[in-house]
Amino acid sequence: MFPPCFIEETLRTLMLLFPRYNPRIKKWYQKEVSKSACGLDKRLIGIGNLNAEERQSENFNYWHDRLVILKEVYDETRPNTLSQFWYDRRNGPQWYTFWVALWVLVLTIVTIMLTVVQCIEGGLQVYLSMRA
Amino acid sequence: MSSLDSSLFDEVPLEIKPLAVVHLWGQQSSHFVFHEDKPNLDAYFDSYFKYYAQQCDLIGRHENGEYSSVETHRDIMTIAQLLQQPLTRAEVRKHMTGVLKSANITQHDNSNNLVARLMLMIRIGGVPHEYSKGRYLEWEEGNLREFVHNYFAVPPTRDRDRIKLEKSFNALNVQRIGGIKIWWTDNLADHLRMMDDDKAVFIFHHASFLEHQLHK
Repeated sequence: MFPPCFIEETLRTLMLLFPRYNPRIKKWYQKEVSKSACGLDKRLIGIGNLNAEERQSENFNYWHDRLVILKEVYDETRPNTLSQFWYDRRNGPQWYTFWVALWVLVLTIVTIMLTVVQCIEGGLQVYLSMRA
Repeated sequence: MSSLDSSLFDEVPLEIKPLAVVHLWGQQSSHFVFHEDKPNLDAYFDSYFKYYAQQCDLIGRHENGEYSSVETHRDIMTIAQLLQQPLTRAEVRKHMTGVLKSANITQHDNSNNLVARLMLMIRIGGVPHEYSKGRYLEWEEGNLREFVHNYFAVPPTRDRDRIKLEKSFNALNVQRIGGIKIWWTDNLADHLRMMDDDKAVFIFHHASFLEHQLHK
């Protein structure tokens, strides 16, 4: 009933989005299955993988436009929450810069706090020694 | 009396699963060997038959069965055989009148929509009391096969540059990094359609249905 190669191509879009042997996706999908009420197909994560050559937009005809739109929206989004920053490693150097900067910021804040404590302690010492 | 003759008002019997699969999609290949013991039948196309039961409920059982003209699972299989032939909607209706209970055109059309939905997993025909975020398709002209072919054969509108879909472009990252919610759908025509101001995307999850179509 379906056009030639249509079903095969649809399966390939699913292989692209749900690659087999990816433990993270497997775990996440199993959670989705148990969460959802509509009865998700458990077979989805077992269907297969695409290699680099197959992962080209030109290999898709029926779903080409929708796939490209989804890819564009995905590429355009910039992370907003901290967890999105953590998972977003599309731009490697930027990801490292961000997390190193965050680490430095945390260390600075801790240093400032310790300095304040030291100042108060120092003052207290002078005050107590004058009273004695 | 076979299990196919059971009324749509009863729960879908497990025994009809293999029969329904053959009637709706043709003979299965040896690729899918299964044993007819109960626990196995339970898992056999379980997500598809959830959809099947839900659609029967939506159309076949609505208004005490007055919404459509199908009464048993056998009626569904009879219509399925008609829809696989190159017949227009009106011709299918003509063939139905002798076989099914007497009904008007609207009831027959609703039955047609139900069976087309079951065969193709495409939401064909609007059902006013159906709640759904996606769209439905209206099959009016030609036979069902032509209609499906025409719908999916949309000429490409965008320029086809070679875009690499890198490995990290998977469903989990689309959701986690892209912030695009995944809405699971039973409607093949909604697959990969972006919704909700590009904040969500439909994904058709019935992989076993697709695989079965492939190995026929």
